[in-house]
Amino acid sequence: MNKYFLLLFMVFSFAMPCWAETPFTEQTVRLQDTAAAEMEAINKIVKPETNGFPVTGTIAGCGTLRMRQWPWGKVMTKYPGGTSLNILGVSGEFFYVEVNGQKGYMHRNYINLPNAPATFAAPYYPGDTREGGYLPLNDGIAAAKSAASSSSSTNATSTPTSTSATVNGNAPAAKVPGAPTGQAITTKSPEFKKWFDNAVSTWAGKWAFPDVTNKYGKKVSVEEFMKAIIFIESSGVHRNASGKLTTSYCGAQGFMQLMPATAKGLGVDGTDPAQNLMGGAKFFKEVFSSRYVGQKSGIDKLVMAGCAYNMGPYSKKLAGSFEDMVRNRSGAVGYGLKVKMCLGLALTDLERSYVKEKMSGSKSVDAYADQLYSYSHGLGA
Amino acid sequence: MLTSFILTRMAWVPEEKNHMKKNFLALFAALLLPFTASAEALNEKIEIATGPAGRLMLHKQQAEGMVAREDRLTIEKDGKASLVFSSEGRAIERVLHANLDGTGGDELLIVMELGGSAGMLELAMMQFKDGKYEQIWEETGFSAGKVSLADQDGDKNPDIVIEYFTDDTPPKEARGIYSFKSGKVSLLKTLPPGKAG
Repeated sequence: MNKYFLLLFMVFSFAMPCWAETPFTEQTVRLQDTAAAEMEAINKIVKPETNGFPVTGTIAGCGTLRMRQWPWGKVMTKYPGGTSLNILGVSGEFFYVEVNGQKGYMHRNYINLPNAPATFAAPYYPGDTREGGYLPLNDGIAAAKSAASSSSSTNATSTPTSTSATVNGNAPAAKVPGAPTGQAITTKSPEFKKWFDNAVSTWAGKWAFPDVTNKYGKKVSVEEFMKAIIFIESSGVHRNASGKLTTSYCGAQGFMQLMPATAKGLGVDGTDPAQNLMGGAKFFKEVFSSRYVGQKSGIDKLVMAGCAYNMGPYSKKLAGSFEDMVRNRSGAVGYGLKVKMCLGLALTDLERSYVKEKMSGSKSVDAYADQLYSYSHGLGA
Repeated sequence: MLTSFILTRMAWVPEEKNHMKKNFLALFAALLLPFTASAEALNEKIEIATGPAGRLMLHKQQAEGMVAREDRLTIEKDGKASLVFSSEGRAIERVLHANLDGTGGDELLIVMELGGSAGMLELAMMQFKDGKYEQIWEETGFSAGKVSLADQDGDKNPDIVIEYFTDDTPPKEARGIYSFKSGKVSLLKTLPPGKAG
């Protein structure tokens, strides 16, 4: 009896893997076919730009990156940092990629290209996409393209370097009041000088502005300071060529990146370019007289006023000096250093090492500082 | 109301006495000016929680044309109000209350917005001890932060989870987890910049 049982068991043991594997393999093939057909159908709507592709790339860093079915679409899977990709095209802020035969969309800010490292610029997450949610197909495509055509970064030099592929913008928005030609409102707009002069003449006289001379022996003016802030905050772009308002990852708006609640408190409409400049200039009256900035003097006061504008003037982090901030690497160190470089103020050795490590990239510190000084002074020219 | 009543009555003053009308309106405007100049953009009172110590109330106050907020947390009991926390220019946006260390009563986690272009948050924590609230922690510099309470170390007590953006160029996402034990708040870990795109 035992012999028969053993024989029966052996027959089943050999046969089982075949039974289990055969239908599973067929199912996998069917699923892959379905997924490929679904992706093909989706791509007919997304229409990724393929000129200049394919190129190879890798997922940057040590975390994981989501692969979505379409830009801001359903999450299919995640791949770890270091994974090699075949980049097949681009749609707005997403690359259309292939990994081990699986195709999908991945956010381009976290992908290294052969000649352009990932920017790591934090995207604006529409809806609940940050938590893994998704947008409907057409909304996702529109959001990804809109974000790509908008310069929402607070740093002009951080604009991602793209491949040779052209990134399509959104459909033109409605005509924006105040826009000189097309839709853009920038420091090059003809009305900018009027708005700027009006804001400065109304409020800068009320700033407790310190007397500071820069490394070129030039006294820093209120106009230069205001331009430095506009450059650092928005690169001088209030609305881009599609008419989209420059909006940061935290919701700050326009030339001077006023938070909506701050604009409300100041009694201005932050989406209006003239009022945005007026609100920013008005805010500095409060900043220069605030508890921590108000008691400082000279360069420290000037730089900490910039940090206070960025952090909020009543932050406890402003109690110490800018030197403390740099030493502790806390607060708005990067922002304060940009203020110094835009105004042509000399950097200390400690500050230079911070700029080299975190800000200037492949450029020398002096070349980076000269570039910021030049850009900032060129606003509105 | 008073203004519209006076303006309605003034409309009946005859044309030949226009100078009287102008003088009266100027005097009325001058009397009204001190009240309008001190007008507040915000003046709200919200109940946060009720406990044995009384009703925890949040007063939001902001002068017109200013970013500074003079918000206050008070405890009201038996018709008396005692100050728990003053925001000193910062805007109290949320007050989370939970028993974070598993002993005594609820702690208060005060989330404040700073109004700057980076959308930074500052946090303060209050512990109820010997019949009153004492501030035991303050932390700052969380750009575009999201604050929540959830157990992260498996001790069944909620920890403070803060998702924010770093000061790097460009900013990176990060998550700080803070734990409250034995009367002290300490940083459990800071997760490296996540890539959730």
